[in-house]
Amino acid sequence: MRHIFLDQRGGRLALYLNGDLQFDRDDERLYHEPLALVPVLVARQRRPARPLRVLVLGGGDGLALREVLRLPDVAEAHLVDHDADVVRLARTMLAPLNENALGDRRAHVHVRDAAAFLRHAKDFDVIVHDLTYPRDVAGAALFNLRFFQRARAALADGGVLAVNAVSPELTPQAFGCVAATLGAAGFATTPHTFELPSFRAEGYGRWGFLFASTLAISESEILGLRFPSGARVNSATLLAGAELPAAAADAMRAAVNRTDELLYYLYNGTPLPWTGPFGHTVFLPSGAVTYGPRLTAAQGFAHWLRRPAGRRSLDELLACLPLSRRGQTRQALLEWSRYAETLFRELDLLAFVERALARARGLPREWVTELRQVAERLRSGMPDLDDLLHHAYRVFAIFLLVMLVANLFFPDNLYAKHTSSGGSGSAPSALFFTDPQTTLSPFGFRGFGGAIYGTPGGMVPDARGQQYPPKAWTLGEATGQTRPVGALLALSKDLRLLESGVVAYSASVLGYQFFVEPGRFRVVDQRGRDVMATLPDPTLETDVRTQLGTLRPLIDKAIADHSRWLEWVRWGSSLAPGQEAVSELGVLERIKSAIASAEAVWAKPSTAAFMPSPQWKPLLPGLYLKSGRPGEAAPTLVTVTPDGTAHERSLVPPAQLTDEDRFVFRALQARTTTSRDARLGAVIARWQEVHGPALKLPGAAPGGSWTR
Amino acid sequence: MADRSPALRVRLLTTRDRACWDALVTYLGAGFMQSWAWSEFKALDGYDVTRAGVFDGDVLIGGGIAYLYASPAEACLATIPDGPVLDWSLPTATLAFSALVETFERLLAADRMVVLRLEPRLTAVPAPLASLPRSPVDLVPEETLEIDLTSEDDMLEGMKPKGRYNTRLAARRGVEVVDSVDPADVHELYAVLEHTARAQGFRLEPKSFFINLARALFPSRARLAFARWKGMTLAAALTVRHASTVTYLYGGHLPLFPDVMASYALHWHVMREAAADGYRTYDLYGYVAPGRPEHPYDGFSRFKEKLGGRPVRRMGSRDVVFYDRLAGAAVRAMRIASRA
Repeated sequence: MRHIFLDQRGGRLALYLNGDLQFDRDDERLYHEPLALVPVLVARQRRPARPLRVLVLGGGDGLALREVLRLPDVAEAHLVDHDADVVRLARTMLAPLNENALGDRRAHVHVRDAAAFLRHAKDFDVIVHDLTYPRDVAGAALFNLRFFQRARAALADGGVLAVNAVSPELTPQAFGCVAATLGAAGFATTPHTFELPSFRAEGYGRWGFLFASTLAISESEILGLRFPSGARVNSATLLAGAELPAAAADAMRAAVNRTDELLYYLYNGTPLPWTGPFGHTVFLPSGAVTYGPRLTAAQGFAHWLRRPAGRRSLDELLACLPLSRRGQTRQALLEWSRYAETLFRELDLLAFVERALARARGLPREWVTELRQVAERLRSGMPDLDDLLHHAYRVFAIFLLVMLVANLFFPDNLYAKHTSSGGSGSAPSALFFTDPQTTLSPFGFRGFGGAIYGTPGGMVPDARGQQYPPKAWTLGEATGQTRPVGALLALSKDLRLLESGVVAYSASVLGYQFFVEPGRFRVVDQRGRDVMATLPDPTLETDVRTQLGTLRPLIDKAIADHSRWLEWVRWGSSLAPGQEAVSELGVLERIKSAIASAEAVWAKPSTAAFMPSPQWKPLLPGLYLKSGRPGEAAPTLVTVTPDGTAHERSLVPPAQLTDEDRFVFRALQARTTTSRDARLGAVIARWQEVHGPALKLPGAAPGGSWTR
Repeated sequence: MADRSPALRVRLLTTRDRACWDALVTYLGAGFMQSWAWSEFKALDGYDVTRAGVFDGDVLIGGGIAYLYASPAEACLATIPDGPVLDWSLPTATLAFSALVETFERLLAADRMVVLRLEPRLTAVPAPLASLPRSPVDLVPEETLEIDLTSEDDMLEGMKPKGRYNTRLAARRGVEVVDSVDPADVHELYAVLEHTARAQGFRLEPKSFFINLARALFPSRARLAFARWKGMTLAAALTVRHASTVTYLYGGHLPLFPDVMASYALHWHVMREAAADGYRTYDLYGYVAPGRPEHPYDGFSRFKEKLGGRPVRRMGSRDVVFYDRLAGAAVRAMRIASRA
């Protein structure tokens, strides 16, 4: 069942299928020309005298068909779309836009399933794969190896398959997976990536196609193409579109989509910064079918089990689970660790274990033994959680894993409502898995609560419950003077945009303020002096760039709407033009100017890249606590400097205090307040004992009054 | 189909049952997520929807609409938010409930559905559900604020003084609120929600969710409201209308000109319009009482309570766990892991 929404507001013409944008009239030619016209041009060039046969899979709106039919060399074109409603729309409301392509005498329209049609198709010079973005197993099947093998069989010698793929920028591994699958089907593949404003506005990122043929499409072939008059696409845009960032070689490395591996890559990839150097790329046929990751629990569980003895925590178990949904984040998944205890407390573990034992034939002996032991303990009364984790870590882990995977893969749970019992937002309890084969103490542990950043410390709620930043931040000038700068907007819970375009970070460390710049997290004291700088993890920088990018159109729209309103109210006004609401316009312009300044700064890419170890607990961006074993060593502090180097230091009080030491002390003190970690408390006490009043900061803290 | 007694039987509902089902949902006070229209929206959003009715002879006396999302994972869950829909006071309630669960167990997701999550819209747990474990998360907010939609004077009187003051202040400042049932306005709603979610650290569904919702529920079952000031949209809300209740499902505001109190104008408008249209309750959908500053609902709850209303705590979700399936899924995973 698909739902059609044709957005015709304000002269717009845009088609959404099940909520996803398919095209916008304003820029659809930038999409359909390369996807449908280019492969036909290549085919014509390869076999000049031949009347061409073209197959369009999907594309029921008729726009790809329109491009195909631009060339008189096309003798017949078959459009196959399973959605009769879309095809009906193409024949009626969209007919002016698709130039009545479905009515062309060369066009043959089939309301059928693409895979079923392809099974009996043959001798096509071009196949245009214009199917919708894969969202589920059925959608992924239209990009799998068997599908592309059938497409290859349906092509004539030297024929071209053009595939509407995915975003090479936001989901580079998924893009690589489609390319690898085409390669395994025997195709050499040339990418074409491009910016489509309407896709960008919807958050789809830079878009990509793949041109596949058993005979690689060469650069000279592209240079020799003859484009019809009026075409926006040309050899130069195609050659530019085939260039990928150098980092793509690694970022796009992926296995073949045999069944639904593509879904894994769509949700679990890391975006690829679209920055140079660029190089022309061709994915060559490989023939190799490698086994890739899937959206299942077992693979992650096997991985978790293979970890060295003594290093198995619940967080690490959760970290092995794949993300399963657009919008799901690793953080969201880890938050489910707080429900593990609820599941343990509420569910009938004995019922589970007894049924597992009944199915245990063929399982390795140690598994069966463990199941039996757990059953025995449960029958003689409910053991406590620690006991169970110590003696049955595998059984308990798989129990949790199956329950969690069922919950996590239900999309609504991503936006779940918190229960009073399980999701109060408080720090989850500690859970330790203990391998009985080892004498080591419990392995992974959750020694620290949430990061102190991320808490809205020092903020003042207004009457509506909205949090506001302090009135002014203190910035140091080159002259040595300081100046107060107001916060204009909250970019996110943690990030503030200041009047100067500087991005500040909100964290409750008394006496310090924080600023974020590309590749640099600055710690500044109340006099505006830099105390230290770290390299924030990439997600923080992505946050800044994303927020700035989404805020700008909001402000532009507010200015446009407000200006229209001003025009309207001027009629009959006795005031001079523009005087009525000059203050509001002024505010908006100040915000716009700050955003522009910030964007100019953030246009610069970060040079260093660093991903913190999962074992480190964030203290502040670029500052982490590395755990010692419970009951043993105290944690150490890891500082990642802007060049990407990690420095580890002990938390023993130094002999001589530096400004940086004072800051570290304050940051640890703030953390102790939120986490109530006893070992950290002991560290704080020791520092106070050794240095006493020397730890105090001179003067009042900035924004100490925290008033608006 | 499961025949539990000569009188009670369960069968799948067809579109011919739609009117009858919706009437039953309204009569028994179930929430909007059990309405046929909502299930159509969920189907658009990618869920497998199964509608089953419990019949006493030929009379529909209960049932449930279950939602399941197909995934490649070893195990999955199905949910019946705001349901099952039953008269829990009837002596046959336990029998009807068992028959319903058996039906869903048989029909849903072969052997991979390990949990059926239920959450009838009740304040106390009915006897047939008393032994079921509490779910780790709820399907709808466990606690909410409900405002009685009465006369304007009474609704203003019911607000906290600050809420009343801000509502009037918004009117004095000239904030205007307009309704919309045009799906094209989802773009504007989404821009507001997106900013609000980022600023407050909430996760937000993709825009396709709202487009599908608009297409399925506009104009009669859901609508948008926008608070505008001097031409600028400052706040927006999406409300759902079902039975005698209007529910504030989504909303947000931009960080611009907070002094004009656009959000107060927005809710005041929704309350007045809903009251004028004959609705009796405005459900603010999510609330936590003061004293839990760590709770993610704390911030907006302090705003909501200024609009008045009474806190209502519902029973929360319960899980029917299919232990055979759970064990089967676990053993399959064990086998794969031991071979890997």
